[in-house]
Amino acid sequence: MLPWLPENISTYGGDIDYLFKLIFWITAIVFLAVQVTLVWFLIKYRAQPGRKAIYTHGNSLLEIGWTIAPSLILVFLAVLSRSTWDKVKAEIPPVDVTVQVHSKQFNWDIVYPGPDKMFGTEDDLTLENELNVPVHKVVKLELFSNDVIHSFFVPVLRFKQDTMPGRQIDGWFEATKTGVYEIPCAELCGFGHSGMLGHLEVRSAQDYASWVAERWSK
Amino acid sequence: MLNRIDRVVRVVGVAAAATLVSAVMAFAYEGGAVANGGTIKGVVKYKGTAPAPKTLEVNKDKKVCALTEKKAKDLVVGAGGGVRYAVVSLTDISAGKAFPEGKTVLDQAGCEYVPYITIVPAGAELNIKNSDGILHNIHTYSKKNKPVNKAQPKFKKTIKASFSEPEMVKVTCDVHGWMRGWLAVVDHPYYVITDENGAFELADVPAGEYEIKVWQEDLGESTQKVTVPAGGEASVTFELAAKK
Repeated sequence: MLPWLPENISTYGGDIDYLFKLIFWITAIVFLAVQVTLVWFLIKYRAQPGRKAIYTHGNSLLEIGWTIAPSLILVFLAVLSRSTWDKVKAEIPPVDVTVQVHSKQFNWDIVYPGPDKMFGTEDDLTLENELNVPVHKVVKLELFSNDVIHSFFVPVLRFKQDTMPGRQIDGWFEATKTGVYEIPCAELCGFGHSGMLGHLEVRSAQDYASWVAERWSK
Repeated sequence: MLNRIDRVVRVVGVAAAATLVSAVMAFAYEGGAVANGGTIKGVVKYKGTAPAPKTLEVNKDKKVCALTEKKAKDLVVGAGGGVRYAVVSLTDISAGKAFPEGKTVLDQAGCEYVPYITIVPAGAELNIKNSDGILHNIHTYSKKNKPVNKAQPKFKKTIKASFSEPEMVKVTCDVHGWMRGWLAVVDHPYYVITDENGAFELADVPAGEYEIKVWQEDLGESTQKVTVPAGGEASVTFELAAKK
């Protein structure tokens, strides 16, 4: 239906895409209707010799109508999206892997807790711009910012979360397909914003285990 | 009564200011011609067996930055034990040769700072070039000087900066995390960087006794006394060990 959307490799990506497409078509149809009406009025009520302007106080029924109708649509969309919001933002399922993201101008510092699964210990590993995760596992991200507001955005996961200085913000995802995917910054953070790009590498279980063994044997 | 006090305060104030200015000027370096100057030659050596330099991971803009392998330059020791990239200087010289003419340039080439350590006269203009045609963001760290934190996209071939206080200033790139360099901000020209053999030479030094210092980013600092004969040569050897 919308072939230009990025590939979806996230367990909740389908829910987000459904809402996106619904909102897209509602707004597309309304947009078309408004533009057609605008052009029709431009032609129909164009200045003509002998035609004078009419002073009108409007139409109360019409105004009530075009206030209530969009409001009802918004309420409908809010109710419809509540469960997806809760799933993506409010509730984190049982976690398999936790990783910290420390965003800074202009790179992502990804911190892995190591075999002891605790942050702030000797076996922590920090990699710049490289997020390695296993496929089909719930990954929790603890998001921080070292300086200004950034936004950790992984299009194929339908994951986007602002990172704020002075705050820890948590998010989660479960990737459904192996591969290498982009992590751009989605909040203007300075002159280097456009160059702020990391990579997500989703690995098979075996490949992930090999990566862990290799990294922590050094 | 108040007028008299006011007058006394003003006179004392002016006298104090004049004394301060004279004191500052007395310590300011005077550069000019050096007659019958001597030369200090030497070497900086590493005590023990040095670790091999780490290979830096290039994870961005690989088409420009990954054309050559990059090694860390924080501790480079040659086959003969000579320490490269150490800064050797005289600490207590107030008059001598003039600063050399010409522009001071720091280049970002192949996603490395070239040269690794740049000697910059205090207050002089530093030309920061971007030869890579990609975005860099120079970010300096210092205690006495204001930091520089400037993006340099490809269309900004050169940007300028200056540093007023002598000190070693660390240079990083906020876009390319592996990039590292140093600025030696100096108030006289008797500064030199050791070569791949750890060797150095300071020429046209007025005869006299001086304190000579070496600074190396991982190994720290060390000083010695050196006597420079008129028209002659003095030899200095430093041996630096890893910090515990």
